Amino acid sequence: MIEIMFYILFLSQILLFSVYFPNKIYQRMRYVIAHYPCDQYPKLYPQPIENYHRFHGNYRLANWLIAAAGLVTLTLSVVFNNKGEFIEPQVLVWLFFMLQFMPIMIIEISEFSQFKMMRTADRSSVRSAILSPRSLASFIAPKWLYIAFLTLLIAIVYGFYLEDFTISVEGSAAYAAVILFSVNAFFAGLIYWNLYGKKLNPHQTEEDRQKAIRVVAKSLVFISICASIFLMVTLSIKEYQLHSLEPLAMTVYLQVIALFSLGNSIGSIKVDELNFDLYKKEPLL
Amino acid sequence: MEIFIDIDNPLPQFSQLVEQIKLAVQQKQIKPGDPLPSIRQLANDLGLNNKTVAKAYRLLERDSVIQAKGYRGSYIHPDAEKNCTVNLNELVEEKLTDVIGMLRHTGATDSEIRIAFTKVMNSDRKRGN
Repeated sequence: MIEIMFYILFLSQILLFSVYFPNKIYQRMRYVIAHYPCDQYPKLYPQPIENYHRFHGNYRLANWLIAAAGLVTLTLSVVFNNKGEFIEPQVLVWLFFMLQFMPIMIIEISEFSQFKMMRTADRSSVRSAILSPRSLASFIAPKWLYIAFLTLLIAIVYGFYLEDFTISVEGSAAYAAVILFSVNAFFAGLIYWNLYGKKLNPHQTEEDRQKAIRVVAKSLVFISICASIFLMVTLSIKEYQLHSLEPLAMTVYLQVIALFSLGNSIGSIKVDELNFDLYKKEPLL
Repeated sequence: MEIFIDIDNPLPQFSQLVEQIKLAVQQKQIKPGDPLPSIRQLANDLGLNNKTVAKAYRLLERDSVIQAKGYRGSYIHPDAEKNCTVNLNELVEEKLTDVIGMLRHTGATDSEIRIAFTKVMNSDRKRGN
């Protein structure tokens, strides 16, 4: 029964990360190119338009190939009834997730270089800024921050409770606490950088920037809560010798954080609601 | 409310900031007690050096247009509206124009005036003013 559930959830992971979300992202990229063409919105395309078409095609192909590889892996696992003889199922889930995550990482990196090219091409000497402070509380309700902090504390205390509050460097609790603290510190740094860091896109309006900050802050706070809960689940699985549930917990966790990050980002920022007029050709004087 | 900095403008960037914040106060776009962005936020948003924004804030604080409240940040001064009308730069220029005009009238050359001005400024600085 657990095996069947694992296969279903692994299939869901393949479809979610390599078919559903990539398809949404692909449609979004194509929508922008179709509705905001480079002859009318030249500032949006610092590279030749063919590069964007090629990039979109490669992105789609890469995701199809990863999805196909996932389906082959899943079929082989079902046929040979892999119970960890070849590879531990939770390791398989994690490794496959890393592979699925690569196209998204490539998109993120290419976005940085796209903004860099936009900044280089930007000839405007006028820069603008809002005259009011940005604070985290304006982007996410403080109760969520408290909840994230509390779940982090509870997860760490729970880990030490399972080890009878004996602090040992080799224990799982200390190791988990260090990982959780590092992950949360990284998230805090990312949020801070989004709030106060340099504006990457030189044409972005303050309103659009605030929308982006809201999505990032919400996603990271919810992922932090999920990470703390996942840690408690993992520690419980180890404590109560329920190892067969480990791959299930892993794939569910990965899918939940995907929904909170990618799902939230795609759902909250509608392309039509962004201001594309700023990318238009400047009128000739 | 938004402020704009033109990096090609011959007016120094910190002066543009000071002028725009004062103008915003005079036009009641920002009111006494309103918080201002941190130096880092404003500098990063405008792509300026932190020191440029810090200098503008220092001048505004000197003129009692804004007030720093430690770690809580900077706020618009309660008397900002009144204090915005005093333009120290204009006052300094006006006084110097009078003095230079008077000195020229007495026959002093521009070079002599410059040397004397630098000398007075330097000796004044040494005295700790």
